[in-house]
Amino acid sequence: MAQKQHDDSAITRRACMVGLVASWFVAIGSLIGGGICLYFELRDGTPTHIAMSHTWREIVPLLLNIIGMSWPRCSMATISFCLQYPKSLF
Amino acid sequence: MGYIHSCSLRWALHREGKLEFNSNLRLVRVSKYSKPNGVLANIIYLTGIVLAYGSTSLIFLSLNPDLARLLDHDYQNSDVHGVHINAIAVLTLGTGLIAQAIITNWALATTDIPTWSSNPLDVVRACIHDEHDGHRIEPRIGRCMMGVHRAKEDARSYHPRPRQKPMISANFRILRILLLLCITPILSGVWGGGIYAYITKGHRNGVLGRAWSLLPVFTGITDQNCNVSQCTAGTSVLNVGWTASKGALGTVGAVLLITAFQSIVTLSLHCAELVVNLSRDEIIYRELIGHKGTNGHYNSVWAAFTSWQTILLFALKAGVHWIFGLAINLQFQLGVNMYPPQIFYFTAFALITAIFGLYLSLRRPKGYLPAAYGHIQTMADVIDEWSDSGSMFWGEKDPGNPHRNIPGYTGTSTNRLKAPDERYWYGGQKQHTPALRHKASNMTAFSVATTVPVNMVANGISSSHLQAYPQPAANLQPLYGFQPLTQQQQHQAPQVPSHYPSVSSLQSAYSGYSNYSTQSNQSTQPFLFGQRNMY
Repeated sequence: MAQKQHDDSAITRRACMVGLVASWFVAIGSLIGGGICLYFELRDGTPTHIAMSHTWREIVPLLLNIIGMSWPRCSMATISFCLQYPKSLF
Repeated sequence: MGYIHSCSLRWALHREGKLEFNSNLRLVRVSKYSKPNGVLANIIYLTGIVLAYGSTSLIFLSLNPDLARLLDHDYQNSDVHGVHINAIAVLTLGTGLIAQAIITNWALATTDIPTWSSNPLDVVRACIHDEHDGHRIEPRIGRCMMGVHRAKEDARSYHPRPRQKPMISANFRILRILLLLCITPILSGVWGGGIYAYITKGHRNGVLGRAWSLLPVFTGITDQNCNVSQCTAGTSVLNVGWTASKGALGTVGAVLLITAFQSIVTLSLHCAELVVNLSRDEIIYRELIGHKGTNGHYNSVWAAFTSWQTILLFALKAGVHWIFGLAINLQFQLGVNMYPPQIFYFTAFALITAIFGLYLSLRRPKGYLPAAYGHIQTMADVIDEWSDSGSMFWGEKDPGNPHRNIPGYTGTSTNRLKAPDERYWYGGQKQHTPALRHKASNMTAFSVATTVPVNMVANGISSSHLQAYPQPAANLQPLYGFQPLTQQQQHQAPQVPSHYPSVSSLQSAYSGYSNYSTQSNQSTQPFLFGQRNMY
């Protein structure tokens, strides 16, 4: 029988690394962003304001949840696809 | 991050000899020696997850002027348009994520992970082939028809069953998870009912609405025909307070109040993940009896995308967290609001999750292949030959001799195998030698080329001398009792394959390979049944 064409373990590991690095970026970005918002809030006395409709305001958390849970899977799928079909990138 | 953490737990447990199942509850199972998977780290990780999920719905704060008017709150025109960013919630999100990232990095740095694959077959193979800190899973002979439900029993022959037992009786944690899953809709139902009753009794911060739409609506139109404090055509709401206008302390209190509620939801959904993972492990394992056999080109991501259980759980997780954010949220200047209709919708979502978990845990897999649900030792017992390509089939290798009470044998091969016969007994061993059958009326000789323990070799017992009975656990004991080797015997012992433990570690191997071996009287070493209690 033929050997495996790709190593699932290696693909998964790479994808995990990508996810972990991205998580660090999001975490540090959130801390910096939150700190900046808090600074402006304390300086001006009013919170940072963004124009957004009420409906979008309710739906955005759902989108954040979906993106937060699905993007690591999507990135894993992309990596595995690229590794399986390297020529498809060109 | 969660995947890395669970991978790290899996191999930490394996090194402690406590790895039973391929899938584990990473926030509940604790490793004794791996600190990133210890009690404190798990508590911090769970807190991080709860903070991250809880704060997501609190980042964007809006002020509905109609609701503010209903609740008699003053507001400025600039407060009404757009959304306000809750800096405390953003910081909470960052803190939650960074707590998880730190522990994940710690786990990654301190744990040697032999395989990152989530495929239970890959994991079992890694557990069998490589020794990790003196622990290695040893396939136990004579258990080819014994599933996870019989993992603690001594080896014996069984008839194949067309349907296997459900998951709920395979893993005692499933029952606890189901209880948690069932408690969540009950608690949320009580919560919603309590809030609704509170409003109908005329609490001054409550507004009784007539709208039951999924998204809360506030028309600003008050209903004069009202028996309570206030009535509206919009959604019912109870304003709890804890407003951001009372300073950062009020916001922190509101965020913590909501995340405390959310922790129950997060924990129950996390536990539901185990049910789905066990079910998926079983599906992958049952490909052994599928038309195409096991998939040698398995991809964890593709498996997740094509598994309806994973997709449904994914949808439920996103939906439940979202609807929870609608049921209780923070409004700019108004503080924490609870909406009874959305709480009831949340109850419905939680109920669907519980029913889904109940269905998966009560489902009985079809086929003669003994169920494993990701149980490492069971899969190691059932799969006798491993294919490098990863493509394998399971079936009957030897029908035995039912007339002479000789059990048959099932195992795996790269070629398609015949399904076992329900009328026959299976539980023998591989590589029958029919020529030797005439030597004993009810026994069969087997070759054990790769599984002869050290002391047998040292005592001059070769594989050709070994004889096994239909129930070897009872019969082999007096013949081949295990005794510690003397120094001279150790010196004279022939070279053994490098992947076997040393003579000095052979005794410790009894309790090392799996958790079951510490409770069962049966050793994980072949032909050493019933000898553990000697030490």
